[in-house]
Amino acid sequence: MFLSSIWRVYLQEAVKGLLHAYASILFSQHAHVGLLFLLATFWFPNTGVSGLLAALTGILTANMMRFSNIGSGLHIYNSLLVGLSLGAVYQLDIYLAILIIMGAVMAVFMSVALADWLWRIDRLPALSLPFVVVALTTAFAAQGYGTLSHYLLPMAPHAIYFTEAFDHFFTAMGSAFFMPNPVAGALFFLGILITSRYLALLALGGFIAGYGVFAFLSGSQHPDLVAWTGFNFVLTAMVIGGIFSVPSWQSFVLAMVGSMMAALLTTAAQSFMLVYGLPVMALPFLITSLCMLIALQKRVSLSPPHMLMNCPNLPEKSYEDARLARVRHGDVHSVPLHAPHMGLWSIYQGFDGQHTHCPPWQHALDFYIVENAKSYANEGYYLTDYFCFSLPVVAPAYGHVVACVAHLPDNHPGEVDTQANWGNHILIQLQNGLYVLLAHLQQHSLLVHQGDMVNAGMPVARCGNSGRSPQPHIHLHVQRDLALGSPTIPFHLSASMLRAENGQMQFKLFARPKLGDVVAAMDAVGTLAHALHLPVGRSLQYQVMIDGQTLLRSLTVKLTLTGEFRLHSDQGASAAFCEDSGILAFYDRQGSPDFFFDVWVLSVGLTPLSEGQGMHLLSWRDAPAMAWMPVTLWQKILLLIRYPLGGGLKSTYQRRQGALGQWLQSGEHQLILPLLKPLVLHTNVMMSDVNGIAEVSAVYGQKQVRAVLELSGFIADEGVPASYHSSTL
Amino acid sequence: MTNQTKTWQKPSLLAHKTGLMNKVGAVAQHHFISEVDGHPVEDLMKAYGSPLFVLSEQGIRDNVRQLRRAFETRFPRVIYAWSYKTNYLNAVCSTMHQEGAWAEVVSAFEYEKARALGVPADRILFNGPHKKRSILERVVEEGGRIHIDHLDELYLLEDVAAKAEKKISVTIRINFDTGYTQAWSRFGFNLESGQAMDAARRIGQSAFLELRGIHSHIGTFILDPRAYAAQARIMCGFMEAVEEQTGCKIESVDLGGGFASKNTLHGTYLPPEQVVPSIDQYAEAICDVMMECKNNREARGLPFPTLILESGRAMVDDAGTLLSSVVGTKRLPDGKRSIVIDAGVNILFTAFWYNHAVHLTSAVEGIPEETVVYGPLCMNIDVVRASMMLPPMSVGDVLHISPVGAYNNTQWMQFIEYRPAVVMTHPDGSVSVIREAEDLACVVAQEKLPAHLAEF
Repeated sequence: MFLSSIWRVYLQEAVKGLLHAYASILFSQHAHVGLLFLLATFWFPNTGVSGLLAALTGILTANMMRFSNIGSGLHIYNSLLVGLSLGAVYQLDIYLAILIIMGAVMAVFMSVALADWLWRIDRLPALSLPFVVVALTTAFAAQGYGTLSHYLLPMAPHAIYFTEAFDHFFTAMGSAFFMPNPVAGALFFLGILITSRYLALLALGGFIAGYGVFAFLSGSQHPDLVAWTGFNFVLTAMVIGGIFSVPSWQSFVLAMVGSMMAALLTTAAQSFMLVYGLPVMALPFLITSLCMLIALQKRVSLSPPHMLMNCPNLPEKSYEDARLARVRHGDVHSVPLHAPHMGLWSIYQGFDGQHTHCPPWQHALDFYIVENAKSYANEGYYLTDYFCFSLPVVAPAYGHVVACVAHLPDNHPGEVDTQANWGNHILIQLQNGLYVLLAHLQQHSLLVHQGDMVNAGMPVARCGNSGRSPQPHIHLHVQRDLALGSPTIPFHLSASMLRAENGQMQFKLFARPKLGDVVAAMDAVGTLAHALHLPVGRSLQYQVMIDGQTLLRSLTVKLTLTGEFRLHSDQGASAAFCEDSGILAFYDRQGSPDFFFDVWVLSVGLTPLSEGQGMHLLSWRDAPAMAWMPVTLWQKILLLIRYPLGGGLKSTYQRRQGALGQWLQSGEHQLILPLLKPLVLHTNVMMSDVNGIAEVSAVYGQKQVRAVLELSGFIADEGVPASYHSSTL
Repeated sequence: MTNQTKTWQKPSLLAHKTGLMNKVGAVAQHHFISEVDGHPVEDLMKAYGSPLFVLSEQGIRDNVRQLRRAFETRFPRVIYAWSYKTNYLNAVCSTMHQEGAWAEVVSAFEYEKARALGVPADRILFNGPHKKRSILERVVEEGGRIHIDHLDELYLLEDVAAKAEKKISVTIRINFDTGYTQAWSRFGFNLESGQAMDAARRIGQSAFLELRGIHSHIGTFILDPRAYAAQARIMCGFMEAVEEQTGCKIESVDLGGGFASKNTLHGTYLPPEQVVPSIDQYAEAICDVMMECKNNREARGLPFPTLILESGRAMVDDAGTLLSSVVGTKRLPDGKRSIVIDAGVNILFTAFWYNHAVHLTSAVEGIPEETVVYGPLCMNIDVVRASMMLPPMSVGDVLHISPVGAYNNTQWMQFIEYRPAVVMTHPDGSVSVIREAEDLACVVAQEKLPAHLAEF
């Protein structure tokens, strides 16, 4: 029997959705974990078949109704749970089957309705709320149907499978699937362990915390009660501490507190609901989790726990994202700005400065120029003696000018104008709605008018000494409102150079210079930016020499549905990248091991697209994910023990300009292993303004790789044939 | 400078001379400079002999920093290259490189000197009209940056690159009339006649050369910043044209040098403080145009070029002083007073075109008179100052001549006299000899005497 291809696709989708639904009950995305869970539900075949029937009904309904996002498993796992809940209590026969089918259909509608509605009210996840609503309905209804016969789980009441304590725990795990059995529970736990070690830890911790409270306050262990409800502690811990927050000790403690509250709710619900013969099911988990998620969103604080309402993810992944963001951007809530000047300037007053940078204007920077500890030449009697006076001031970001004052006179050095504190100024509204103020500008030096659009780096005025300014300087801050001098918001200089203690200039993606620091702006649009640009469809072919072998490898740029650019290797590995704010930065490695690809990406890593000046090297640091470094199995195990949530490499980069239109960039990447010597990978890359990444080489222990760009071009698109040009002489 | 109260002197009668009637006034003998960079002239003379060149390390650093600051705060991408020919003493070049300067060389000798000092080849701009195949081979091999001066050099370089199987990036030097100064048409390809575009097209067709930079140098001791604004505008226009017509990508625009130092050219009436623009004024004129070019290009999504500067004399001239002693005095037949000092045009080559500032180093009594300052050479042309007001000098009195940091330590000649020592004063207060005084052994070191001529 040949299935037509459309049906085959349809079937594939259905199987994928089914496995996904099983996996996502415990927050996994893997199909094989879903399969494991599916098989585990057949420990009690009555329950397992009921669940499968409900899940299949759910898939069919969702497909027939053309509900979107079927692949996510969202609609189906609620149906599945309804089936499991019924199959755990009643014997599967034609009557129950009809009830299950109706419950499953209802669960799909309920999921679609609730998911959308909850997101709209407070960006809340539906979780298993639709299931609880439907299951309670069916449970009530079932009481009225005389046709249903009760099913007794074939449980050996006092059998010990592991140890008593583990049996309790695994039973509680199993109860998430209405499988209160330690062996089935152990399989579920194994699934979690495969998915995420941190989630497994949370599950264990949540159980201990919840069960501890439950048992302590009850005065007895109530193993049978917990057998059906223990998963509430586990799931609450996983949701609060793992899926919706960035792992930290604060979020872990919060997760434990959540589990304890769930324990309280479980007892309360049981006291109330068992009177009516109703199972508690996931209600304590849902009430606790949703309540905590709503409350935590109302926090106005930058301290942990950091919630991820928009992008729930596995904890290892969110930890890595947060770690990389912290390493590269520092404070993620700070507004990135371009330095408001060209060349080397010093900080006259930093954040929380001693003169005037006091709340609510504590987030502000003053820039001036000093040389040999003096800001002026000659006697400093005239404004023109001051090094920075009348030098160009550039726009610190893209935005539009909303207010300008240009007529105020520049004060004689040492004098201040306290009537018009900010002096001549330009207020620019940024794309994010905030405002940037440039103040104390030179009289009549403004090059822009109200309503003008400005680009970062575009000259807008000259440095002056108007307003409350005893000597010429530029005042820069970000404020919340349009009113001049409204409360300020933290910001930082992105992609700039900071003079390190050894006198060398270091590239910083995140710089919040302090009093006396010397900063230089980096120009964002340079030849290098054009050379390294990776547009969608770009395909690069390299001749790669690894260990005496020569291969032809290719890399292709693709664009995802969500607008993320990814570089794909022809062997399946891929990495996301962005070309923004003057940098090219790679992140989020996925796919199978691929030494050439890893070396290529590490060698570029985080690359400032602006060229350094003068004789000095341009140097910077980065901490890309450990996943980039090829390791042996033993090293991998050591790393898992030492860095259970993953971590970063210690990477240092240097670049200097070679011949005209050529840049040589070298990197050293260290992976610090416990007990052993650090692993070190050296990369070198030659960039050219014609060919981009023209040559990459690396040394890693005994291993050596060298790749030379052979062809570069574009893959074909409809109506556009593929085109390549050779990059050799 | 030190001011002392006037000492009483006997009244004397002097014929009235109209030559005295200028607003610069007479040189007052109570106005003297007794120290160089904090070091008493007397001590320096005693320690290192007369005459003596004194270069100030801090002075050089301050000048470069001022130049870099002036340009880098007005344009985002600036490279400064130290023009070796201005003063290629190792200590001077190294100070420049420590301050972030690249090297600008114009001969095989200068290239080798820069390389020997440790400058990476790709930080060396190789200019000048004379580049032999042998040196081009080395520069191509090492990856230096070559500025092509004429077509024959273009063909030679193409051949060298072909032999080396390399595609090299090059810059062409062009010349044109800015309308402000006399065009220096002997260097590079002429713009107005179309030569420059022809050269660019020829490079565009070459499999071994790639045009990446354009360079021009409008002259020397340019006193009008508007000349540079005109130069920058013409260069930016040429960049657009050449990119459009040959498809090349211009990475750098080199405006050469020529900024005036605080010196006085022969025939200039006003003092340098009044006629020489500040570095900031030059920077303002150039960067205004360059920023316009940048904005214009960015609006079209094009990268903007790096600005390269090769200023020489303005960076080092005022960091150099020559101390020279009076060896004889004489009344000339026309009644003019004259003195002979131990430094002449042999070591103060720039006296040919500058009226250097000459100061006393101690108070000298007597009425200032118009005096001719002669050098020590037995040559009629050896005149340091043809006419200046000086009080009656005595043998052993030391004169302070400045600014002399540019072009003297490179253009001086070993002619008749040994060349004296050059010392450098350092920011920490110490002094080092950066070039020893010559003696017979070093002057004749290269000579070979054929055996049959040895005896007489």
